[in-house]
Amino acid sequence: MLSILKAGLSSIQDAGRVGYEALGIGHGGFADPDSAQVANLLVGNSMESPCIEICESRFELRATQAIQIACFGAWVELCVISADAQTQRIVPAGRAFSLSAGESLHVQRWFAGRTFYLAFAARLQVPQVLGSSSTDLANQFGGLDGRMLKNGDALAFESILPASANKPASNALPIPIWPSSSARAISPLRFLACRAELATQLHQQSYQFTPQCSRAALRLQGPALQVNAALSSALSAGVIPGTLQVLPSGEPLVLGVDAQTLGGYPIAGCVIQADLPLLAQLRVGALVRFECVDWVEAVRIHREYAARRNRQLSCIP
Amino acid sequence: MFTGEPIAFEFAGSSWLIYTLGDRAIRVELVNQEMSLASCGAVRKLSTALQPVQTSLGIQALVPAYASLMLMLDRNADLISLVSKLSELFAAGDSVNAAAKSVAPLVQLQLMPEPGLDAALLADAFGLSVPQLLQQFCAAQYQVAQIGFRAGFPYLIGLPPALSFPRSSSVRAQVPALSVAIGGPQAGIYPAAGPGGWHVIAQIAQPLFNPRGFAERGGSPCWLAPGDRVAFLC
Repeated sequence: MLSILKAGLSSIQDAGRVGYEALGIGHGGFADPDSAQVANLLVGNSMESPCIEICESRFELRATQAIQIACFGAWVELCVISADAQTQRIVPAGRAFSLSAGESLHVQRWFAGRTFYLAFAARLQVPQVLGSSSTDLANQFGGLDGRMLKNGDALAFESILPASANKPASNALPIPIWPSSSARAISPLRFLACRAELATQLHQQSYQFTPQCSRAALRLQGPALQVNAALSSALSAGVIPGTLQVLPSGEPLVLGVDAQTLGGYPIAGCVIQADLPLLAQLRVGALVRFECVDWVEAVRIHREYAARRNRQLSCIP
Repeated sequence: MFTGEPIAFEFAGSSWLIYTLGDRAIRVELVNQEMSLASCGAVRKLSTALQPVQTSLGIQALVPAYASLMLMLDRNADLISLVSKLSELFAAGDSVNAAAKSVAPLVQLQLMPEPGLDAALLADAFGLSVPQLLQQFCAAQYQVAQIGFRAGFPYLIGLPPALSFPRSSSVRAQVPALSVAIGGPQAGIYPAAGPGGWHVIAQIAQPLFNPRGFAERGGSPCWLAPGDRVAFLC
């Protein structure tokens, strides 16, 4: 069993729910599926298995039984403290490691990125609701009682893989290089236009991530867009994660992985799939520059992205 | 090369535009953006016409709204070929049209005897008694134009214009679960307790959302589906 000592901003997520959008239930799931899939593969799970997703915060758990763990996503410092609190060791991300009964795992420092995943060489005992173990925070179901984890929560395992069944630890996979908000690097975010008159205003403009960022939406600060009356009076309609809505103030709001299924604000465009994991990794203060791409470019980027993913995943034994 | 200019077509006697939402979704919108039974019917026809070919086109889900339909695509669906196939399909028009005639189910919902939190306020504003307000509300026929905001929250069209009332300028922190409410020209029902700005005129007892599924609804987690006709009984 796992005992959550400091929950921070964490929740149970998996690959999400498919096909309930017409009923107001979003897809949800891993905010950065690329990282979560790697974490799962490192402990020998299927890529879609439920993980603990942690968003930039202090997090601690204790294992009451021996368990193999892998962590992947943001660049953080992970430390294991012995049951008697006498010894501690730094463990690497990017490879599986063992936690003995009574040992605790601490996320000490965040260097870059905002979201990371803990995967376990066992199945977390959380029920599947509507085909997924993901936590739907807005509708309060799935995961652990439909809510974020909290201090004192206990998570049970089923079908733990015996340690000998685990593949020997290979060289650690390199952690992705997420832009650090202090380096003043500007990350490009590519999008396809929806309303041309708004997309052209957004193209090549830079914005900063504000503290108002959640799994549902990320608010950006920067040049205001001009919205004409016809666009601002449009009826609400379907939206997806990555949709670039324009608020009445003219500032853009990017919908996150827990996006509502319908939205009423005018839409400049929508971030392409390949750049959605980056949205989950940019921290408060990070700068982004929007780049409008056309369909041909979007298809080419997606093919390259899928091929690169396959190569990365095939490196994991 | 597509840079945001929508593709226009005619279908079911209406003009539509195709927009993309990134590389995962397509939104097909009625040019005439109005909340009406006619718009709702046109969206329903488009959705029904797409259902038989949905899987073969790589469409994961169809998401109807007041005057649009969103098509959620499979992760590896080819956007460009899909849009051209859609254009062909819609151009074929009438044959598809003929197949798209089905009667929407009628769902009856019983109002609880006690009036809702804002029933007296609205009755006063309309110069009616509370029972008159609820009678006029129940005399109308409604249709679920879209479901959203929260799981199972139906946006209903069909509210008599005389009962239209602007949403509150403030948000109530806890609208009780299963509140029937009026927001401008629309009616809706809050499936669960939570914040909301519409005026509550009544409650129902029938749960609208159950993540374990309603056996009576073929296992669907929602009692209502887009397109359903709704009659309130009081």
